[in-house]
Amino acid sequence: MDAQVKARPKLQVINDEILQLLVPGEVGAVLELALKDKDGKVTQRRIMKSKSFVRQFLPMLWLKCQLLDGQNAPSILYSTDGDPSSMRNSTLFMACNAPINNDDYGILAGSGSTSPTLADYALETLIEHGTGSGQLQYSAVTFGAPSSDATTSQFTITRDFANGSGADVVVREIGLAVRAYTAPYVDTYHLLIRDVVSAITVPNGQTLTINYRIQTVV
Amino acid sequence: MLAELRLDRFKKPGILLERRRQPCRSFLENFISLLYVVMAQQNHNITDIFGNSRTVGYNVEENLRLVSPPGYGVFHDFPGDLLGIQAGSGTASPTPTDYKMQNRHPHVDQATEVSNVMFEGWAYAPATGSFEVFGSNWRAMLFVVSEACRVYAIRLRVYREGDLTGMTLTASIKNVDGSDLPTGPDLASGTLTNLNIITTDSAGEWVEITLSSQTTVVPLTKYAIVVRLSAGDYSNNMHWRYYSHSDASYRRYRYPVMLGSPSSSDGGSSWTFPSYSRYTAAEFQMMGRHPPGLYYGGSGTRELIEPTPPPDMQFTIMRYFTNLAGSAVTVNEVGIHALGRYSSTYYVFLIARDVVSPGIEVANNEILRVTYVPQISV
Repeated sequence: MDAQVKARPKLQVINDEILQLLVPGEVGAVLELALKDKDGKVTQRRIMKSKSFVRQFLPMLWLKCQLLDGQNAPSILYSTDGDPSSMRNSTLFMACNAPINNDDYGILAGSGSTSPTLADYALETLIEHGTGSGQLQYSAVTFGAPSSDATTSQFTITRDFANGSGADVVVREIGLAVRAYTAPYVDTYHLLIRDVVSAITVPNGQTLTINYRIQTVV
Repeated sequence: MLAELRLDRFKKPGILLERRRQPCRSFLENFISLLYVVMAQQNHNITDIFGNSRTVGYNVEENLRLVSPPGYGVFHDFPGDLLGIQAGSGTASPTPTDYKMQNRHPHVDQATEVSNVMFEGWAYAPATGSFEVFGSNWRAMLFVVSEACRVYAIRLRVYREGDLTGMTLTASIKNVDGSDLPTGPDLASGTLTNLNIITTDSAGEWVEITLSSQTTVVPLTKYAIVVRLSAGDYSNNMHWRYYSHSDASYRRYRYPVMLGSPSSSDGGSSWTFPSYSRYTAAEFQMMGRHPPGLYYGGSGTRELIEPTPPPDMQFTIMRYFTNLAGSAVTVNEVGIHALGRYSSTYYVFLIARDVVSPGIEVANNEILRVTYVPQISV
């Protein structure tokens, strides 16, 4: 195994200049991908506007605004397993601070290439955590605190994906999933964002760092 | 996610007079911060609508809640109108760090009176003591009001000691900080001269100080009446009568208005609030009138729908405002207040603010419906 994921990836938040790709009034995300070699040197970097909040985002925000349980809206809330969910509004509702080695929620990587639709509830093909063939090692999710400039506010969600599989792993889709409880106290996971990107190859021994910068622009 | 802002003015329910649609421009840093607390599961300091930095805890369910009861309906230590959609008259462009409406319309359910009435006050006979006010020795009295009040005058129960020739008695209203100490400039002030006509009898008498300009105070928010004398000494000063009771539980339940009396010995540059001062209430009466404002109905959300064609999914956040003020009220800004909590303490944060241009004039008895519609499409 040539690569090992760090429990707490180094996080760099640029406070003095926030990259703005959103239009005024928009709440969205900027997606950043950085490929690093064994020495931590960035060999490839991409920055783009995240295009695709999927259907779970708005119902979860709606329920959060009301502090209601989701039993009244099971048909519009789907877990990443594809099950209609009757989630409970809890202290963990919408949490995405996934721990190391966890590929249930937080930032997720996949190999599917089908364009996103509103109805997406999971990545098309999740790249699982591990060191086996076609797998990546998932770090813990970390966060950069909120900051703003003259027009834009943001916070950053970061995760490292290290390739210790012994061969190239190709990432074509990226998602952000959050946690919730389903009665009676069973964890469920819900996809909020799914983006399809042009293929990025993670060679064996290298690490892909993914940032979602959640932003709003006035 | 984008949001549409809808403003509909009605003559009465069902009779539409005016309809506006505009993009919502301004979800603020506070919205991002509350989302951060929820998603990162980490505490974070956020500036509340009173300008105080508050820690919001991650391990609570209420963060981002914005539905609320109408106006005076108390909700987690706040009147219902302080949560949910807001209306005001400010015209300044929003910035990401806005933490309050520029000039919020208060919740008002009646027309402005033609003369002053007493909104809040404290009087107790016999008083247990008096504060000596002179020179740099200032005294304050904290208060809250149960209804929005435009303050025109302050009455104090005082008596004179010695000769106050040429001196001026000043009373003003100030905000208080997170430690309940007076802070910032005077919101309004007034003065009284010719002080030697005031009684020297320790029973005191009510004197009324008219404010040179008025200020509006709103419910469940602490303010301070600050009293000072332009000169004097321990033999020539103004005594402001107070009542004191050392039993906090007795005081709280019998005299909820008894919020305490901070003091300053350096002309208001710094303030102290020793424990014994928290058991005292200086005698005052707050004289004013209901300000122009709007009656805040409940603020709620409506169902998620998937309209065709795009946006692909949306929901609505809505509030009705009724003008019962007796004269027209113009709305130039709208916004959203949301809840945050740490342990058992709740705070209110501004998460969105939009300017409405030109402003919408809401005549007496007319209704304004304000609706935010968050929308997503793929």
